Amino acid sequence: MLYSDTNNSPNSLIDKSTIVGNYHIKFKDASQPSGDVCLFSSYSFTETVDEYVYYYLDALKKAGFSIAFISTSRLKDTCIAKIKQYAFLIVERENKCPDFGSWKLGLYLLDWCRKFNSVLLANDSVFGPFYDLGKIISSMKKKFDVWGMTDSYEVDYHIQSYFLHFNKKVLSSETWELFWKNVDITLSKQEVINRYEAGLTKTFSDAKFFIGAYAYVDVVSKVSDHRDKNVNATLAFWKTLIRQYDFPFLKREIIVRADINKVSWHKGLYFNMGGWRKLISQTSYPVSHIDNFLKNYYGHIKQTQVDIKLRKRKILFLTHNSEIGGAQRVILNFISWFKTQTDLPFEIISCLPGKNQLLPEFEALSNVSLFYSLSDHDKENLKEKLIEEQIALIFSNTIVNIEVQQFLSFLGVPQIVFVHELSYVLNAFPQIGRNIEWLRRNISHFIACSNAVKDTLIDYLKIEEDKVSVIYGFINEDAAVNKDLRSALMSELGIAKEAFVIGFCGTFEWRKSADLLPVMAATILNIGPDIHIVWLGADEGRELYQSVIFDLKKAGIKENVHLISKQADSRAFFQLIDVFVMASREDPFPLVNLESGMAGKPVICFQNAGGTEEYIALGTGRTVPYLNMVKLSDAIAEYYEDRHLLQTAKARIPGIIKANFTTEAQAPKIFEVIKRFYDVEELMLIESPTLTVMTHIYYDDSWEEIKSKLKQFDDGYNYFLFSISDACFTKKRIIEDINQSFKNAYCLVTSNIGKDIGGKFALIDIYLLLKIKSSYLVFLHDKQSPQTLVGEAWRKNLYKIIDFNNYKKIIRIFKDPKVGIVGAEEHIINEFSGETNTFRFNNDYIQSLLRKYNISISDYHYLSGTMYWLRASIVERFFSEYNPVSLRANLESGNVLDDFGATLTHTWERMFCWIATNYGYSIKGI
Amino acid sequence: MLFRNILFYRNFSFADYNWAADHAYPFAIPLTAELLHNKAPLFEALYGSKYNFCFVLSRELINASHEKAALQSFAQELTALLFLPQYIRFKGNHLILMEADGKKDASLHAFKKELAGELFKQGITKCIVTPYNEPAGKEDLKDEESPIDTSLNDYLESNGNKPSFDSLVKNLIAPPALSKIWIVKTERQENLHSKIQSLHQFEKQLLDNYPSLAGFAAAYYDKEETISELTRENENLNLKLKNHVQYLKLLKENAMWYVHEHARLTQEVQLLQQQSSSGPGQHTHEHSKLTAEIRKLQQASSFADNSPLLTEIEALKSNRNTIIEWYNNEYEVLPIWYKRFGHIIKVITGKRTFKSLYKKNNSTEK
Repeated sequence: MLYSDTNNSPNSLIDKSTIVGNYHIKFKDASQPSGDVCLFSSYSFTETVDEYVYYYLDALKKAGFSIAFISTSRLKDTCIAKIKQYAFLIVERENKCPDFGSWKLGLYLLDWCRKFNSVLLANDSVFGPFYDLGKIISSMKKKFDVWGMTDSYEVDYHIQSYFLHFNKKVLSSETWELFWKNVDITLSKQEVINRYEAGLTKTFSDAKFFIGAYAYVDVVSKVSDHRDKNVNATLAFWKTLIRQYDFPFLKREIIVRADINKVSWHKGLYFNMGGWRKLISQTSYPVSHIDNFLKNYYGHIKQTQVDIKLRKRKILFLTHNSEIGGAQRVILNFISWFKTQTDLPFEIISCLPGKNQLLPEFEALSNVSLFYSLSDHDKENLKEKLIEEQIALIFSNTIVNIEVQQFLSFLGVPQIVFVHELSYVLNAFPQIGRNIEWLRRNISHFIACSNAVKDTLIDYLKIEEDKVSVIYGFINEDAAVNKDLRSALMSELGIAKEAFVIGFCGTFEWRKSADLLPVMAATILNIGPDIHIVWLGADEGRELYQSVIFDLKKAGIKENVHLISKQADSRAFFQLIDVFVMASREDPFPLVNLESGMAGKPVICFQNAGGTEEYIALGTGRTVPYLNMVKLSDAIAEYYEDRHLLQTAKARIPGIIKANFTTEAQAPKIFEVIKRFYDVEELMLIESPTLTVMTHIYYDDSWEEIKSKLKQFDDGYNYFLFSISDACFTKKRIIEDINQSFKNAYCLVTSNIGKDIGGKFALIDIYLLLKIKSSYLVFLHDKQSPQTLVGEAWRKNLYKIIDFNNYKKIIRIFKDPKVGIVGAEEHIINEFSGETNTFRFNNDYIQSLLRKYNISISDYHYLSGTMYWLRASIVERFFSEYNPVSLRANLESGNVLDDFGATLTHTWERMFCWIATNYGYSIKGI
Repeated sequence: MLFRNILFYRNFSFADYNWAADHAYPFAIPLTAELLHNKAPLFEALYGSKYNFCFVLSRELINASHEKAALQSFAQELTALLFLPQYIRFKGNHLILMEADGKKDASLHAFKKELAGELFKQGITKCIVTPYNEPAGKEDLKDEESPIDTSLNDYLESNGNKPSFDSLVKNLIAPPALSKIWIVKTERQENLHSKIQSLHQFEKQLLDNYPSLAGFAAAYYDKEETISELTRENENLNLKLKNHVQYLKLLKENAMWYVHEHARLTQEVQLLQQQSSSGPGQHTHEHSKLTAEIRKLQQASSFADNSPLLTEIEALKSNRNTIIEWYNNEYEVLPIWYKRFGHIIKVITGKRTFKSLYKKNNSTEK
């Protein structure tokens, strides 16, 4: 008899060997299978079997196994019908001791598989196979009696149990039957791992069977980023295994455990789990099976785990600083485009100190960490934050960020560098020269902003040509302007309307040829009496500045040469000039060429001085021999004498710019490069608490500040509830903006009752009504407190809770389950006097409400200002009992101030904290 | 859309509420106990909708809410829905209609007062609660003129004995009907569609036959909207200005406290100095403590850059300027035309004679 039993009840058990628990045979094939058998253990979250399991079963069947499918969950009839295509036996059993319990049951039902040639124990904890299992099996079974895919030193040395193969010799042994009969299905999960997973290898090794693994951790660890072999190889070396060992499986744990990347962080090891999709897509495996499983799994767990989110991996953009400059402008333009055109999450790091004129623009796009201002302790915090965020790619705007890139290399993710440097700058930064080898090994791809940069890079780093793409720098199309800005600048500089103006631009330094300005000017001004020269970017603080002024005065040409400092908006300058001279000795691909082109002005540059020649090759100007003043003068004279040439240029060049050098044209090219290293379809589960931010808005001018801060928290999962006071003049515009800007937002137009407390009561009502699930609530309002001298300082302190840089800090504080409220520490106060048993303000109301709501506490500290994070459960518990709208009806109307007497509104400001304290929670400050 | 005071009475259905009709007419939605029972989906549907709306309270709801506790509970249920940005404000008032079953009912009038009282507690101080289909007459039951007009609906619904177009126009495009809400009743989706078409026809006919009346109606609505908006803004401005009076009073007190505290501390320091010069330095600690307190006070109240006082004064200035600017831009302009138009309205509504207007203008010119 092949099947030992068809039913089981606890009462019929006789001895331990037959303890297999309750089970039900759903299907058994009448035929008598023989040969190789696979006992496949499975668990389903939703009573259905995912496609990836069928794929695995199919591969096992094709590898010659007869399959017994044992599930520790109920299965729908449709699933049973489908599994029948692969399995000769289908059993449902109680969910107890999965895997080992299921395998024991299978063996028990199949008379310990004595009649089979071999047994494979497998389960659904892996995706795959990505490669032909048949080849691996036929090769391995020749060498070993007992073998698996991977081994491990965790607990004790053992072969990992998700795939275990035993040959006939083992099946015929006493050890085999004895081992399985002794499996106790009542043990806990950890005991099963300790006793059976680790114990199995020892048992069969002691019995002198040959034991082996397809990929030994000793071997794999040697070719990986870290050499620690006391880790789970399928987690720590998953990428190396698949990429270098044609390993057929990926552990499901990698996809479903939100904290999987940190399992060995206590050892300083971070496992980057990103990029599985791209890697597996290179095999014949249908990666959609994993995508679908992940979505199904998320759909299942989100019902109970509100803190788990399914989202795409994050990209980290690096800018060297936030000053006005070409490389900074390009990355800013790109990120703006990226934000509007994709749904991919990202953060920004500003690496080096600078004037930060562009910082607000960067901050408007995302959270910006100022790396240069971080202490060592802060850097460690940043590391942890980035690990939690599971960064998948680093994109740096220049090669000079190398030290930050090295710092970030622990992430083990692809790094792309947009290079804007030629040899002069490369040599000026010793950290680049010192780390050529590091750059070669760790930078996945370079983007050069011109062919000149590409050639320099290949020569300098000795890298392969295909590791560098050329994407020219670009500007936004709004650089074009129809308004006349020229006249104002002309009159400001004292230049006559009919003058012919030559423009120069650049920092006042040698590389930009600022030292040559007097010579160039003296030559150019000979062309005609009405010629003027304007240099944009001449900073008086620069060393060269006074020397140049000295020469200009001595040459008697000071009146016709105008030096102006860097401008945030340089469009007036480009309107003013007739011809633009790019006089740099070396410049990779100056954006000012493009800006002049957008204004329809031709460019003249020196040959062999960088990427400008490539731009001029499109018919946008002239090149002259390097530092040849006569030829430069001739080229300018050509335009001076033939104004028709200028007209033609004005008609043609803006079109060239729009077609080739705008963000719309170039940003998609950068994104294509990014997509070579980043899979836009790859999703991951991440543990990130869901927030509901409840904001009350009263003032007309507060919205922009609040919006810019709250947008940082808008990850598509958090909720934003707004109560806009009916008295707010700008409410209509704010509501429109909220509905356009926030993903999950609701607005109420609330009447003027109880100030922000009344607003919050109305929002709590909505929160409970809509059954929004959050871990924390954030109370917020646009506090201005015009009645005091310190209102501004209060607001700044209280707004710490919506500074995104404090986000992780607050979450960490809440890791202590006793903490109920977190807010600005300066605002934690206590007005209770133990001596008189009274409160300094609102005493009567407070005593009455404490009695009414049975609040009996000894610590009356509270967070004044009613802006803080609090556990959602506190509000849910209290206000499910006491209707917030009913409480709202008792609050005062109008301009509620407690300076003129006690108010219920101000009493409730204190009550929120005491409700939390009454539930056993504490208040913590940041 | 010429007539901006048309309100479609339409049964609410989750399935087709956002049915993409090519119109911007708002809806009056019969609010039943069943619908209120599904408040969460109702809230979401209305929030996500492009249509403005108001409620018509069903008799069943009204009858069930006569008891005080029930009424309070009902008002609380209603509050969140009234706070939706799309809820209709008619001349600045939340508009709540009541099903009158086509008959006079004293209890209905009692209910509306009680409901308005409960909503008042929620700060909904401006609120019109009125039966929408109550027949005329029995003036003793009326405490104000109904803001509802159903004659357009009657015209669109009547088949055989349809009133003449001319008489309808004469009745509608003139006060008081022009300033009322015209309810148009629809039963089903198709009915709504055909009613909208009929309305378009009506508007076209009006534009063709009475272009100046149509122009007058359009101008009337423009001005009504502006008046209503500016009236609300004026109320808010008054509120904010009153608030600022309180703020200034408190600031003054605050500033005085600084002055007194400074004087007190300085006096104490002097006293300590006198004592320490005559004896050993036992007061040095207290002296330095007091000096530090004075310094802190001076810093807080100094006019140095970034001092809290200066920042606060700047904030106040900016706040004041915003209000003044708003007043100058938006409200100062009001009297020029407001007076003129206001007088015309008075003439139209019969509160003033055209003659008196003429006389006054003449006398002003003289």
